[in-house]
Amino acid sequence: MPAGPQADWKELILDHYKNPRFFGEPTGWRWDAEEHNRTCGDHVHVYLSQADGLASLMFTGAGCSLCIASSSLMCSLLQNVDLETSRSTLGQFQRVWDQGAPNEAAETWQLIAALRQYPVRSRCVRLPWQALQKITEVWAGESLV
Amino acid sequence: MKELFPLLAGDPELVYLDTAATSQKPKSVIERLERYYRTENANVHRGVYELSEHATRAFEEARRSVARWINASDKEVIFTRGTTEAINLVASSAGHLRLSPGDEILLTVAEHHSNIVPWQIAAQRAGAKVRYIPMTGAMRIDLDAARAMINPRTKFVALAHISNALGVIHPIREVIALAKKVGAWTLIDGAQGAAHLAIDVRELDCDFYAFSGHKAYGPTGIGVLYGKAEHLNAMPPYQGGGDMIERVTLEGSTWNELPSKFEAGTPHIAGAIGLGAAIEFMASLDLPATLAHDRALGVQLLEALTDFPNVKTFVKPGDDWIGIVTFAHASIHPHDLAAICDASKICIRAGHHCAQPLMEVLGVSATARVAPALYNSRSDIEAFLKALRKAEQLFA
Ligand SMILES: Cc1ncc(COP(=O)(O)O)c(C=O)c1O
Repeated sequence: MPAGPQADWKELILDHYKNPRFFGEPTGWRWDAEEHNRTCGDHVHVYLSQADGLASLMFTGAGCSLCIASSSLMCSLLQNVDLETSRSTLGQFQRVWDQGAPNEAAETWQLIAALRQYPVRSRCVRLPWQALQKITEVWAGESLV
Repeated sequence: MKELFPLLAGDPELVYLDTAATSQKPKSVIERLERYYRTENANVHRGVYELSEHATRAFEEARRSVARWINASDKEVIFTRGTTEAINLVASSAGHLRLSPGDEILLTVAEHHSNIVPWQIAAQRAGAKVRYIPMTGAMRIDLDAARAMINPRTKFVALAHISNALGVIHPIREVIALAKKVGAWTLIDGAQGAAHLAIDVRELDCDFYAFSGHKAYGPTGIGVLYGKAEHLNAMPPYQGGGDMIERVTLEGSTWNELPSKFEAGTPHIAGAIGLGAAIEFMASLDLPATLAHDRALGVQLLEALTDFPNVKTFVKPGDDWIGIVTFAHASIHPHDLAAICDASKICIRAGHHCAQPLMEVLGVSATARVAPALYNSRSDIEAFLKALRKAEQLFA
């Protein structure tokens, strides 16, 4: 839970929903993955573009505030990153999602951790991360050859 | 009414508008469950000691209460885990008995998943086909289409008494009459029906009627399958185990008589007894007046919603409507609306209501649903409208 009054993180989440960062389909993207949540009709489409071996994410989609905010936060974390960072960020998400964020973690992780108090909506939050998982696997397969 | 429901009485700020998902429980039901566990607990149909005899009497008395309530005979009342298990029992067991390749099962597009999926499984196994009666633009069953679809290959017609997503009471008498003409067996999914209407299975002349205790003021984990005795006798057992057999040898077994044949294993004894208490509670209500109360709250909400240009509703009120209001909002996702409501301690449902095919008909992926009940008042609807305005401010 982030410091400060409860409303703070809710406002930040709402801000990511109303003004999602890295929203849109980039030109010349390299890989993409799409995820649907049929229970509420949410869908996100995540795109990875590459420049000089480093990757940046963008996304499109429609969904509830948690789904869109989660996508926006995820893309904010993954700009100009290498494969290792993509992998470790996925791992970090899993840890934060399972156990919460340590006090010293960055605000983005505190916000993601705050979403854990909606267990019924966990699929909404995890949706973009599932897309990232798929993309990262493809990327990893590619870098083997 | 709230004073009869300990959860609501204990939390006066709570506004519970999700009774179609499960009802709150009256004090009498909670106390009956507690009394059973405190003073009467023993396994049934087994012990030859007084405590077990007593539990068995209480359990069977609950069965008699259900039978009287729906006008069936005791042996036609099978205790199940709920509506879902009751429908699975029929689709599986009667499906084995009656379905051949090319046969048809007729449902409606508005069914709950639990009245779709078991039939799809049975159809797949038998090489039969599931067909769906469409809805009219007013979200009522298209009876002309039903008439055209029912044919001598139709072996089962299964539909809800009341739709959980629309709150519409389906014209089941007409559909049952159509099914009878071709000898199809009818199953009524009474998950919502049994919670709002007095049920007389003889008068309806349906072949099966399924319902859940928890939507009708009773405990979770207990439900009822009514089936005509002649059918239940002809059907193979659904599950094997204790209680359902007459004689077991290493070569094979013979089945117990009804209703035990379909009640393998130790039943939910407390649940059945609690359901008996729930029926007593329902018998103490004026059901038509309760329905009128729920409908009036639904009308209050529908009228207020006309002031919200971004809100789309799907059903017009009528005598065949129980007051459930399902709607979509042009700019607020139902999850977000439910979360805003929750911040004001208002419980509403958001999602596809386990009726994805219907959501497709409505042209939305999810909706919000307000389901008023006897313990709700006009101020509950006003509280919800206030939360809706707040959500519009936040998400606009
Ligand atoms: C119309 C209808 N049918 C079936 C069911 C399934 O009932 P249960 O989950 O109690 O088995 C429900 C419950 O939501 C329902 O509303």
